[in-house]
Amino acid sequence: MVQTFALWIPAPSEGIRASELEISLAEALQGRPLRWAILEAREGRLLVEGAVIR
Amino acid sequence: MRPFIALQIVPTGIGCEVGGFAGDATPATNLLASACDWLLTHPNAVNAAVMYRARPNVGYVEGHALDRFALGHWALRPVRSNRITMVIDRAVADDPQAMIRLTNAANATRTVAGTDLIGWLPTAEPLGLKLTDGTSGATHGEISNPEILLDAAREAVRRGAEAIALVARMPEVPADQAEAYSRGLGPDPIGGLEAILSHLVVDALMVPCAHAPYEPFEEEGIVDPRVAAETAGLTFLPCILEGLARAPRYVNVAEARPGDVTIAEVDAVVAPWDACGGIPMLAAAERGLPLIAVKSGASACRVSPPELGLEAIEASSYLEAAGILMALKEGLSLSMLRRPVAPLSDALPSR
Repeated sequence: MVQTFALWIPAPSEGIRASELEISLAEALQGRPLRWAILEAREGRLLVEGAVIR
Repeated sequence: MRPFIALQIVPTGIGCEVGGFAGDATPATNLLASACDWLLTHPNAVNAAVMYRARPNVGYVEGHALDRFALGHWALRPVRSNRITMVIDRAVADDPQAMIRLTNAANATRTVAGTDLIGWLPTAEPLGLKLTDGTSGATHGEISNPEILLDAAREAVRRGAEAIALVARMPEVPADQAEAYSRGLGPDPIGGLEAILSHLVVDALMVPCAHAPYEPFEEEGIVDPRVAAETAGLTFLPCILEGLARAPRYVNVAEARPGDVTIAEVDAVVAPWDACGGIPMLAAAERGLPLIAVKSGASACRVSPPELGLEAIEASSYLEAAGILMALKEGLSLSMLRRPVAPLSDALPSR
C-alpha cells in the first residue's frame, strides 16, 4: 500500500542532509518513503509530507 | 568545454504560481533551457494536455528519477527515442468512450509527432486510488494495491517498452478544490496522486514514466489562463507521449558509461523560493551546487532557503534566473554584474 504521511521532526542542528533525512523517515514511518519534501519550517521543527510504501 | 547542465524543479501539488497548473512553466523552462546545453526538469513543468512545447534540450525526467539522480544514486542516459507502451487503468479501459478518445489521441501523436508507441495494456483491476490533503494544504494521494499497477507495468517492459505512459481514472475531486484550481487559486487537486503513480513505476522498474489522467470532458467555462490547456482537447495524453518519446533513461550510477550524466556534471539547480525543501534542492546544497531560488510563490509551501539554512542565489523572476544561468555558464562573477562593486580587501570571506 502507498499511504500519505505528515510528520513534524526536529530540524537537524548541523544542516539538513537529504539522504540522512530519508533514512530517518524510513525508520519513523516503518516503510520506504516514495515521495517526500519539507513543506514548512517553524520553531526548530520541520514539516515533512509525502507518501510511503508499506 | 563540457556541457552546461541545470536542473529546474517545480514541485507538484503545492500550487506553484509558475508551473503549478497545466504546463504553464513551459515558457520559463524554455527560457532557462536557452541558457543551458541541457536543462533537466520533470513532466509536470511542461505537460499541457494536448500541447507539448518543451525545447529539444529539455530533459523530461520523472520526479522520483530526478530525486535519485540528485542523490547520486542514478545516472541519466540520453537517447534518440524510446518505445512507449500505454498502461491503462482498468477503470478507463472498460469505458468504450474513453478508449475511443485515447486511441484517437495516441494515433494523432504517432502520426504527427512520429512517436514510437507500440501498444497498450490494461491493468487487471481498477487501481483503487484516493486523493488526500496534507496539513500544509499540499495535495497527495494513496494507492490501495500498488501491485495491480506494477504487474501491468512489468508486463509492458517484458514486451519491449522502454517508457510507460500511464493513464488512470482520478477519484472525484471535491467541488471547492476543483473550483479553486480552475480559478488559479489552489494546488492541482490530483497533482500529488499523479506523482505517486509515476513515482511507483519508476521506483520499481527504473523506466521513464509519466501519467495522464483520464476524466470525462466537461465544459468548465473560462478558466484561469494557466489551466486553459486542460480544456483544449478531449484527453491529456499527447503531452506525455511526446515527452516520453525522447526522455533520458535511468541507470544505476555504478553502471554509468561515457555519455551518461550524473549529478557531478550538473552546474546549477533552479527552484521556487518558497519551495526549496525537496530532495534535489537539499542535495544540491550538500554538494555546494549553486541553488537559484526564484521569488515565485507556492500556495501550500513555505520553506525558503534561509529557513532551511541553505545558501541560495536569489532571483526576482525566471527572467533573472535565466540571466544568472548564462553568467554561470560564461564563468562570470555574479557580483561583477551588479553595482556597486565592493572594494578588494585582504579579508577573505569565510566559507
